[in-house]
Amino acid sequence: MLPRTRLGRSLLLLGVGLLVAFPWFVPNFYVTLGAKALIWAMLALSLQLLAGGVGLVSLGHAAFFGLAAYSVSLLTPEGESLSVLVTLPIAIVVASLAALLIGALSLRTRGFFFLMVTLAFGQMMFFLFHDTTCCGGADGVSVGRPALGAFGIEWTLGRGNRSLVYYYLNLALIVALYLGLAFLLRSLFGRVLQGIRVNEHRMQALGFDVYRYKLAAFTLSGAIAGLAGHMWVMSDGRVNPELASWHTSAEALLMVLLGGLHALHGAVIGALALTGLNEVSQLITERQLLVQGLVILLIVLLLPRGLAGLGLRRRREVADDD
Amino acid sequence: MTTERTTAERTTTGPVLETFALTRRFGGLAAVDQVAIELNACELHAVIGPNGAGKSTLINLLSGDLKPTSGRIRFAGREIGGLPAHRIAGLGIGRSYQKTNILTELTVLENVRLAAQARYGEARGLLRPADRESALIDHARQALDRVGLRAEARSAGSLSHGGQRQLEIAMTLATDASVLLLDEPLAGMGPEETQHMTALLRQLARDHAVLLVEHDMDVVFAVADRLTVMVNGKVLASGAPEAIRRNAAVREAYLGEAVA
Repeated sequence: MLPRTRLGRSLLLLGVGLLVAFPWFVPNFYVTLGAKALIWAMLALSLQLLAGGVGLVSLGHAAFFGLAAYSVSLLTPEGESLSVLVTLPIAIVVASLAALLIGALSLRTRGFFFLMVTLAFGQMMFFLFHDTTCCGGADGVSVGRPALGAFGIEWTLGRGNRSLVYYYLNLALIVALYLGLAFLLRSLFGRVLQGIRVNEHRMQALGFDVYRYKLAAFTLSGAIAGLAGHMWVMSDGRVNPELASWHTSAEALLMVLLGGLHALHGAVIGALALTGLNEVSQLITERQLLVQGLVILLIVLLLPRGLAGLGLRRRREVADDD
Repeated sequence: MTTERTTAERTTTGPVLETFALTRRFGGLAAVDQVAIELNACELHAVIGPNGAGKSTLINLLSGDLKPTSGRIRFAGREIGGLPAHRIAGLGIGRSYQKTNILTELTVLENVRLAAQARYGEARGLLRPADRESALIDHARQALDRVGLRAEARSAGSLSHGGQRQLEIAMTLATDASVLLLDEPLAGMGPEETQHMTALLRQLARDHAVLLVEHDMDVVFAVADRLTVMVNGKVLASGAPEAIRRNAAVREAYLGEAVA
């Protein structure tokens, strides 16, 4: 899934370069926004692995995002903060275990039913946080941000440099995730996922235990959503039930769709584009959802391969004619 | 990779694949009713019968796509009735489908390479880059050579109908199955493709146990070592092609004027 042409690779490098340079040219507010957009991109990548890689569309992925965030919140004593070396592994393990369990049950269904079952599990998670008093109920609660450091050595961040550090931390994670997933999708494992997306029945008849492969992908995807949830607490310093709501799941799915299902970088482009669109539409009108809706509709109608497929289209058509 | 398996199974005595009173009901209808059939190594056993006789259901039962209502299936001395399809495929029973069933969006080579991977991939470590697993790719190319399919870089969906049927057989071969269950491999083929496929079937039966369901009687009588006639889910007769041709009950129920 890494771009094969030299042009594609150069464009990818250019994109990373732009993201690296971005904070130098904008006010601090936009650096914070950028850091969050990169977290959205992680969540979108986790969905991309499922939707684009295996052909599974989950509407409950915010459950793992929210669960990871809440596990940091539950772990951290009030008024203190823990080392990221403690919170990050725990958040990821909790999210993976939840994904393993929910995946094991929901992957027994297919298509539309899979969508509904994942939605149901997501809503269960939402109401767990919303209706119990453990973590602030419907309002959520503020959390001591995990600290960058351990064993007494700590990098203290203030208001001034915090956004910048989180921005680059998230950017480094996104690059690592992207490379890791690109490698995975080219491996023997990734080829099986691709085969399942194209024709699950045939893969089974060839001798692949498709359920196990799908469960492995679902669990990995949950782990990545958990990573994103952890980084969210770090950036935002609070949790609320909305993190686990189906709106969050749907928004992440929209990012994948917007960016393009069939390329990994589509998720990143989609996440950045949607976050940007939200911001711009807020500036120009109060009816921002209307603007967002229209733009998304146009993109989906005009670019069936998403933003990542821009410019690819003409070449594809020629190639198909051979 | 091929030789060790097939020789191992050839040395075991008796049928490779055998069913006992195999039955599958759909509601009140017994699509396969108390069927006993056996398949020997290096034998082409054709199953014929009118539409709705239960031939495809029989193949679906043997491949694990359907679970038997009752009865047993034994493969190489081991009970396999009711096992999931991927386990049965893993034991060395491969199949093709009546309606072409391939990975249309992927290349021809990738279709066959995945088949080879199904058999040998997990042992090789799933995180290794697929493009560098040349053993799997070579194995896939051998299977393509054997069915006579070129154009490995084309997308499978762009092949002609006959090409897709060949590809399906190549996929089955690449899993190194010792038993091939072929469901109407000649359906929809032109005369030239039919000729090619007939030769291929003959050649496959040299080192595989082949169960063939087919409507083209000329081909069936030309290639089969043994014939079983099914009518309404039951076995009407079974035996050498000549005996079946002379069998009065078969002529009356099915063959009619066609072979007179």
